[in-house]
Amino acid sequence: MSLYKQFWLFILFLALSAYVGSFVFSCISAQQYLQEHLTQKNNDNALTLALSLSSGEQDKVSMELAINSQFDLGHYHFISLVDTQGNIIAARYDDREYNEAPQWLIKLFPITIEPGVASVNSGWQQVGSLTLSSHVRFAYQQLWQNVKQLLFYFTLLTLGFCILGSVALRWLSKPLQQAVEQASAIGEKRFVTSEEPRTPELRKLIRSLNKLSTHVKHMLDNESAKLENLKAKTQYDELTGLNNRSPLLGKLSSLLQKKNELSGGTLVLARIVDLFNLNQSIGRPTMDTLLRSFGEVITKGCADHSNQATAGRLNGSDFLVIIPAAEQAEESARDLHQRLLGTCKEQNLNQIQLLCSTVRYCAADSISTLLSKLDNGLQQLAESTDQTLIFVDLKATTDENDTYWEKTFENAFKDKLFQLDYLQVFDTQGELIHKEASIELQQTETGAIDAPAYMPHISRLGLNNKLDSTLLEMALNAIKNKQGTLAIQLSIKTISSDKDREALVACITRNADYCKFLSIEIPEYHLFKHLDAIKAMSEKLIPIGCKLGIANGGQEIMQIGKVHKLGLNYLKIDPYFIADIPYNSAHQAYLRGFVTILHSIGMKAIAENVSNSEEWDILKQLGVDGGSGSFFINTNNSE
Amino acid sequence: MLTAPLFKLCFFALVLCAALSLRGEPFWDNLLSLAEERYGNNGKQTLSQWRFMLEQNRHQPDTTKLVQVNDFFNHRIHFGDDSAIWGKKDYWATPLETMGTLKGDCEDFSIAKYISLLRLGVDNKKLRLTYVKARLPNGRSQAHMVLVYYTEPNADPLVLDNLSTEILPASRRVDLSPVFSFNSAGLWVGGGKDPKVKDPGTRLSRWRDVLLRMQIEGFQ
Repeated sequence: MSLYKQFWLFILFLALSAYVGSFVFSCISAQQYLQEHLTQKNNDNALTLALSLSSGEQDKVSMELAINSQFDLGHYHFISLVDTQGNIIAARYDDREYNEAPQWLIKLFPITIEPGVASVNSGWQQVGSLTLSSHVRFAYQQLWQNVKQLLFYFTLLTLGFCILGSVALRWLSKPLQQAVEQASAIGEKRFVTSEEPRTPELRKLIRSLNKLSTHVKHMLDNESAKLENLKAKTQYDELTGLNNRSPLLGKLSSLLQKKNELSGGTLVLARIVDLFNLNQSIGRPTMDTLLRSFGEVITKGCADHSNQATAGRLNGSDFLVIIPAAEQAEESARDLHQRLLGTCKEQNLNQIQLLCSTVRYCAADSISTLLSKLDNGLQQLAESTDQTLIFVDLKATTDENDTYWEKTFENAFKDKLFQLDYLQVFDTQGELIHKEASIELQQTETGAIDAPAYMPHISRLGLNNKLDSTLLEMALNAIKNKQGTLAIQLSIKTISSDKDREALVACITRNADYCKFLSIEIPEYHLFKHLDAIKAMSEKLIPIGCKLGIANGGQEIMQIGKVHKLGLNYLKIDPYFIADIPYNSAHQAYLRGFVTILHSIGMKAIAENVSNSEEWDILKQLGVDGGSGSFFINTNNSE
Repeated sequence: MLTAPLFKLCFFALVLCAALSLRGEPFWDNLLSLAEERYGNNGKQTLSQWRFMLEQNRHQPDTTKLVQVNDFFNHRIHFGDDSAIWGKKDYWATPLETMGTLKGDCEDFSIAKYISLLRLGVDNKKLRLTYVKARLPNGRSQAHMVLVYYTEPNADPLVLDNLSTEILPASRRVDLSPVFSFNSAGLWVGGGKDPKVKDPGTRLSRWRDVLLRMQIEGFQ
């Protein structure tokens, strides 16, 4: 039985026992009081009537008349006058039925009164003895009246208590409710903390829960800091703090596969000409100082241009900056170049020749093509006499322009030229976890265009919300058509806008029956900027059975402590960490720790882009719970 | 030789009887110690005399009992006003109080005589305390109370008075005109079964009040 019901029963029980108690008590006291007073009254009445009979006329008729008159006008049960020989002179008795009070009350509290006795004289002669008694029906009437009044007031009082009780209960149970909510949140692996209530018992409870949550958070922070260190050692160039060649190219390669706006962007390559000779002529320490400054300037420049921008040192003299989804590609490149030149001037190293080239990349490009384009640009600069020292080639690889894409999307939305493309995700037992659903754009002339190819344009044209709603709608329809569990990736633009998010949540809530078949993924690189928005969404969707996950994760390990409150279900590890996992011991160590952290906050780790059994085996050893990619497609096809 | 043990046996029996009688009844023991405690030796003496008188007349006919009781009180008790004796306007004293103080007014005489006769075994039905209007020799009328004794319900009753010490039939007491009579029929409360009557908070009539006080002193 719930605490509320017990409390209510308790209140009712209290009120009822108070009523029964006072009912019995008041009835007994009324019974005693009535008995005592009626007996006294009987005596007085007998004496008075006897005195008046003693002094009046004493023939039989007169006395009978006197007694009759008293009986008829008064409230007597009986009056009898018996002479000294025991003969009745006059007797009247009221034998009418009376129903002033119910029988049970009369049986429970009988009012027994003594009749009054007095003797009637005539001078010195005794005439007889007079016995009389008042009627008890009036006493019962009074008693019954009392009982009814008591019931009335007690009902009022009980009602009052109930109202008061419900207010008090609401007030008292608030912290309890809070404790229950927090406990269930922790049960769902959302390690939230909450304010300590004033009730001491519950304060202890909440404090303990808070301790637990804080403890988990500390543990996450510690573990992730350790991993971050590990990652930094292998990933970053010691001198400049920028990425090493292979991590940087790995990131670029994973960017080129992304099914969102990041699959398009700008690359900037900067080169210090003849670094080897410079080291000798200027001196290595001075050059190292310059390179360190370059690292700082580039890092800062990246942060200023895009939160997704990343940079690395390809070799001693080459620096590559990747600015995904850059709106102002050329300006960004020029700005970076100017900053680097400024640094040289600051350090009075004007003899240094700094060349820069920039190209635009998109999903269809390969890394080697892009790098050779950039290289060619630098070559052209070195051969030419261009004083700006910057080569800009922002010509897109394809000829399509904005109007082309605008028209394409317009048609697509109008004619519903979208189709879901599924990527299966399996667990370590080979069972299907879910299918990643993404939208393919159907084009009559060119065939289907997949997400990485068109997503940058969607983002640029601000059509994310429209596409997301379409995707959600199609996914829900597919679930209704028994497609099984589907995962869809929503853009952060939709989620971070309160209005769009509410609309999405409302749409999902309307289809609550299918929620347990729906997983929603959010790319990691946007997650931590919009924690509040995601929290708002998770609080509504998780309770109705929807799963939430992180896509393209693993880069921002330091931040992972922040998501432990959200109750997320899984994280998909970015292909960057997967690509060379059998040979990259640093990534192995990193992933092993990362997966452990994920498990400790109740999240599954799923590897993206697993391409062969070698990778899959090692990933399974590292504790990964599932994977997707060409390996599974081949395996399944061969089966 | 044979008479000696018989005599001895008789003697022992006698001594045993005396010892038993000396041990007394709790009624008298209580009453005497109460009298001594309240009124000293004199009080105890009067009570002892009363006891003696009652024991002497236990088996006498009713008329002797009436005379003995009437004389016992008329000779010993001095008439006095309630206000003089008790400092209260109208106070009904118990026989113990009357005998202890040796003073009383007409109600106290009547009550003491009534109780004495009841103890002597006179039927309660034959006894009535009666309010009477008394015409004094000086011509004034006075409210008065006497005890009357009916041999039969319809008989001419005998009047035990403290003004005129002789017991006379009512018909010869032309100076008295009866107003109302009563006795304790049905009013004695049996064995303390009913606690609320003993509760001092309960308002009682004078008659009930004196009955209750007598009961507490040990009369019944």
